[in-house]
Amino acid sequence: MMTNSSTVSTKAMSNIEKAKAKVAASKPAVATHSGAKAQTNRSVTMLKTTLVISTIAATLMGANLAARHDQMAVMTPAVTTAYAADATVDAPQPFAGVPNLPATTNLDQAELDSLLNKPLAPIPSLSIPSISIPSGTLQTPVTRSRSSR
Amino acid sequence: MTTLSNSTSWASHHFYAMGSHMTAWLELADHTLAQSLLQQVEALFQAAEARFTRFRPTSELAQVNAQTGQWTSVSNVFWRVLTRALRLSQLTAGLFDPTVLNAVEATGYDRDFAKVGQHSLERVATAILPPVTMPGLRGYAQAVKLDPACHAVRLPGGVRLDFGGIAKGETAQQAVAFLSQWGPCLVDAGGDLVAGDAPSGSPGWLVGIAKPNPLEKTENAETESDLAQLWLKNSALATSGIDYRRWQQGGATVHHLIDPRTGVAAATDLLTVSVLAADAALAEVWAKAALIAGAAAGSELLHQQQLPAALVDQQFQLMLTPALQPFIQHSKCSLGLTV
Repeated sequence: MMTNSSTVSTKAMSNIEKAKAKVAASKPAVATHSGAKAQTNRSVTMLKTTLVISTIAATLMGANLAARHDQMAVMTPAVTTAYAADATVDAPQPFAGVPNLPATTNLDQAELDSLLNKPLAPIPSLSIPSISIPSGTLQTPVTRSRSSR
Repeated sequence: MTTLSNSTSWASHHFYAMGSHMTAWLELADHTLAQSLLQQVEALFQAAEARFTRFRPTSELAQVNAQTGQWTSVSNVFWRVLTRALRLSQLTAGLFDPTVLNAVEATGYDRDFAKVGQHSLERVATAILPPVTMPGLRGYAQAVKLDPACHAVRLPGGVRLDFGGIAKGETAQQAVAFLSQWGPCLVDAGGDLVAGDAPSGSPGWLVGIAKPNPLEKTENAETESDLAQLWLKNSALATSGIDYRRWQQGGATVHHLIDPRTGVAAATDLLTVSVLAADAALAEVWAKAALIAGAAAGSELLHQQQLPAALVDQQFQLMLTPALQPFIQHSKCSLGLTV
């Protein structure tokens, strides 16, 4: 398999060389050299042009990005400030001091028993006053539902 | 108490249609446009009257009634009201029935009520006397045949339709749907109220449930008082009663509410029933059904349906269903209050 490939490759190479020799024989040596040089110069020119255009484009894009960055830099602090103002929370106020309650009563046991056994005063009865709205305070309705008129 | 605001931005329009005094309100900054829209509402009611009145031989109702026993095609509007009425008749177990026109006319209510008043028939404040029995005039809603494919109806021979408050309620509902495209609105269709969205700065439209007063021969809005007031929004409040449309016939006091079970004016112990419901037809029908059923059965029916309602009996006793209480802003107890 390798042998066959080498044979084919060798044959192909000899064919290419023959073709090259044929082309070289058909053209003058100087003409061939100057044509290759001109092609190289054109390629270099194109490359330079591309580089110049790319540079200009990159410069412009960079300027734009820089401008945007500057704009963001200008805007962001204002927005942040606004939200920060909204989010400001008042610091918790300290609770008023609660005086310590006496741990023990100054009443003696007899006085306590007397107090606890004393009947409580009756709780006054609670009454919810009936809510009556005088008709004078009623708003005049837009209209009334009534049997067919 | 919340107060109504922006009342000056409401436009209103008063007119007479379907045998009733009507008013429509619309909150809209452009008053010229509002007035134009409210006039279109009047046109809507006039068109509905032309279709559903039983007092004009040219109306669609009169033409259908003239062809009892035969299949008759009806308009889409007529079909919608007819089928709704028949469904509500089933729902109320026949306490409401749109086929009792013969019985209504037999009581003397055979012309526009304004003319009934001219002819007779003095309104009195005496108790309702037992009605004269008129057999053969009971409700026949279950016998009405429908052909949904053709929108056709066949009434049993001799049986005629009268939609009454249903047609008025459905039209009021249509009017509110129309006006709601522009802003908050309220329609008062002869005492049946339908509200759209609440006006600006208010929880609803402040409306009253009028205190029945059969002693008054003329109604004056300024001297009327309320049993209760409530904020109405996207719902309907209808009152059915025998405190107004009643007259003398043959020495007896009769009224326009026929009991379909007997075919005669209902022998009820109630004076008025007001019902709050999702739409006007529903409120109207349940108010009528409860009134016909009487205080005990009527309040039980409304309770079963969980409908907010206020009932006033002929001793001027006010009863509120539990479902109404959350809606009441103020309840005046001068009549005596039973909750």
